[in-house]
Amino acid sequence: MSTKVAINRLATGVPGLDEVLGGGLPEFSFNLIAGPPGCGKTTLAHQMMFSLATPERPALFFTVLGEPPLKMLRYQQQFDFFDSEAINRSIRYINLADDTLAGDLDEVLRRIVSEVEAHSPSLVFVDSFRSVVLASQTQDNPNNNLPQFIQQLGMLMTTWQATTFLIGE
Amino acid sequence: MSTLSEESRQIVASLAHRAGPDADTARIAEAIVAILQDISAALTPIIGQQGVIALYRRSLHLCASTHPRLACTYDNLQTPMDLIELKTVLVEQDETDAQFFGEMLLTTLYELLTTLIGPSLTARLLRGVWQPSLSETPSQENSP
Repeated sequence: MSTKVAINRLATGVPGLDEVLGGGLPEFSFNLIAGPPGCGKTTLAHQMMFSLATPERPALFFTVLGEPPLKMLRYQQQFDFFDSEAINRSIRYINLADDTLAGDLDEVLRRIVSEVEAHSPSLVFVDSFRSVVLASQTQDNPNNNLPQFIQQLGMLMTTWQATTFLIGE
Repeated sequence: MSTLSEESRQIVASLAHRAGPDADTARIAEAIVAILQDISAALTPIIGQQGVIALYRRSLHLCASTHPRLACTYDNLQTPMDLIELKTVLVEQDETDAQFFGEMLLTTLYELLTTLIGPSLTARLLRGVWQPSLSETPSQENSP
């Protein structure tokens, strides 16, 4: 019997994507969904989230700055995969705009950790991680927050056994 | 549309239930503010505090535009979403006007949210706002 760790593969629900990924998303993986504005990053994230999330495997979707959540919820409902009954049951949206506008990245991270501790999600989405970092930039500290933020978030989410998606440009 | 009318009836019933029978203006004002607080608590985590304030202001504006008798009340509300200020303005009305204002404001806010994110998600997000009050005691029984 093997004593090596087995990595479960999660079916994304996106036609063809599981084959590209070699059988699905590795559980507890830390993923970047990157691309230019309007290319469908948020929609791809939603399609996977609605496919994967269950009451036993809940998802947290953090919205930051950028597209207002009302508009995002309005547009995502145009897709068949969107299920209103899943909201606040297996899928929970959490808006971090007020925390992000304050410009303190550590506080944003604390808020994410606090919500993760409260809800124990198996899936975590941050849309978008770049706006988190941009909002925290100052003249004295213009561009070195991004690697630090991603590193800390990655470490925390792995420890919490959450398959994580950072969405950004 | 029938769904919306049903929700509107639910909002009116919830407000009446929270205020209790033969409610005076103060109790009606308390009930309106309590429902707005519950709506805010349900929506703020999802759309942010600024999103909730924007919905509230837009609802007030629509109420004042649709019902000129509410325009004076609306004009007296200066700050973005100060429920203490709202309560102060409401208690200066008579019972009928305060009740009418509350029903119009809450119904308008619900309809506004429905036009933005659809009836099923609106109902899903605000389900807890209306349902508990129908099984709990009216608010005046909790007052000293």
